[in-house]
Amino acid sequence: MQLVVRVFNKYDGDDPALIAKMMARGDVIEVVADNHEWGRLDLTNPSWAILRAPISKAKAEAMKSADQDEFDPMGRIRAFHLDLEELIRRGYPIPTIEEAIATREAIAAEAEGQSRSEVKHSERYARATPIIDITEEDFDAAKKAKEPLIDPAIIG
Amino acid sequence: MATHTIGTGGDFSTPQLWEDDLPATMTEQRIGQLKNQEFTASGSVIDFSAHATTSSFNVIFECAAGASFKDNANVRTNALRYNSANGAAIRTTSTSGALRISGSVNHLTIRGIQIANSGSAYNNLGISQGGGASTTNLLIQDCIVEVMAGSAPAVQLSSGSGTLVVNCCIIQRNGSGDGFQWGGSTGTQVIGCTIVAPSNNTSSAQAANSNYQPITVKNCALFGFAVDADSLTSGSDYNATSFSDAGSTLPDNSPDHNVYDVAYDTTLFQQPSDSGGNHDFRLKSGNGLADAGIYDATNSPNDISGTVRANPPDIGAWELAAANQTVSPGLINNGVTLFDPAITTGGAVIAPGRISLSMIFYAPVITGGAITEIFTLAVDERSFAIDLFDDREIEPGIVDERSF
Repeated sequence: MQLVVRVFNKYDGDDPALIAKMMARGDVIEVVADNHEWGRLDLTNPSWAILRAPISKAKAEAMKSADQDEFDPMGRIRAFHLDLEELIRRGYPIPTIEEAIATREAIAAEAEGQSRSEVKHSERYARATPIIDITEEDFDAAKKAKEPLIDPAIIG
Repeated sequence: MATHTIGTGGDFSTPQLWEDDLPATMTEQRIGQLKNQEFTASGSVIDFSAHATTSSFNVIFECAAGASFKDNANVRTNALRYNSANGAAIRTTSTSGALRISGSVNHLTIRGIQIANSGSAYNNLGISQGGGASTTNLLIQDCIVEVMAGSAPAVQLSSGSGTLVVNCCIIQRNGSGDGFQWGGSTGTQVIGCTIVAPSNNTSSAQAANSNYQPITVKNCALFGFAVDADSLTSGSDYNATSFSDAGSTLPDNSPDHNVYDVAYDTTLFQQPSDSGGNHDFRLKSGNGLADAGIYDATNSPNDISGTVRANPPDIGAWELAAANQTVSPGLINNGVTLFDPAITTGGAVIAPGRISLSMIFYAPVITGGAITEIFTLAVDERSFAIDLFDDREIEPGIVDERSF
């Protein structure tokens, strides 16, 4: 199965309600079959890395599950994530958090007054995204459950 | 503005990948257009995370040109139910809402899409909104939403304000889930919708169910549920029920536009039973819902198929195509399909910009002087056509060939 994974957070603030509902580094956005036909912009998106792992569909799609109580405002949009730092340590060529954020900031700066989408998908930033093969052992090692979010409005 | 196609051969291969490409803070309008195929997933096919929007930097999720069930050449004869063969569609097969709104995203428009859930989990919804995912100005228009199993509502919205659901056909087949359920949303309006449980099912639920906030339901056909609705606002125009006002405790306008004692059978819809899998909620002519609504030129000038609403309109998502429809200038707009129109002298003055590529006349009879000032602007750089189908009768001199 192939997993599309975010390489930087969509939100870097400290509002737990937004943290809960925004995709973050290591979150699996989408799961597709090995023979999936990619879109024109799927493989050049600087926000993502694509991992291919020899795992079952159910195991891969479990990475897209939300927290159990999905109607909880603090319920996370993804209950699990992949620890990309762990995968980097194991030798996989995944952008570091610093590299990913630098790209994001450069896009934001250049897109001032322009179409952000056009800048993001321009040749300057549209790095060819390699499909990185990882082992099931490394997938298992990188899979982490997220810590529960505490709503600061709740006392006690 | 950035418009991207979604699907095989498109910009993004799945709806979720397009959604994730939207930034947290919108700096331009973003439009995602489904190609004509069925997108399936075991969980949500598309799950909107939080996005900061404005009325200009909004999000539209729709179909590419020609890809919607509305664009199908047989849209008027196709059964009104979820059928991915008729146009772009999304369907969840196992658990969660097929289209889910997990984060706060305002100014979101969803239109012209078929949405289904065929899973049987407790949370198998067609459209769902998660806790804390407040939305303002959510518009759901011209959609078919069908839930086939499970126990959850077909559409469930939790919080926000200004939600507008227009011309949607919501089919709840699981027997225990509501058709349309809303929680803390304020100012929600449901206009020109058909919300039904198939007639052969025994539903224990409500067609329109509010947990906390009142709602306006107007020109809606609600059938097949144990309870039609609750918590309607005093301004509601509640139509198409077999319940009496006294029994329903519903607010009532004056004059009374409600319709009572309408039989829920094949005299009302083409096929209200789903026992054969061929259910079809297109309205039939000659019943009490025809021409019984209140005209709403702002929100519902056309029906779910794009057909111009009559004045007064039919109740529900489907407008019966009136034979020899009289066309007045106010009805000529982009994207309009007119069936058997008789455009009489002075009936239509089509000024520049009032007519578009997507305008289609079926079997028109256009008499002398009926259409004036077809085009006064140069058309040399634009492809332009009016398609005239079937038994067209155009008298000489009516249409200047040079205009086409």
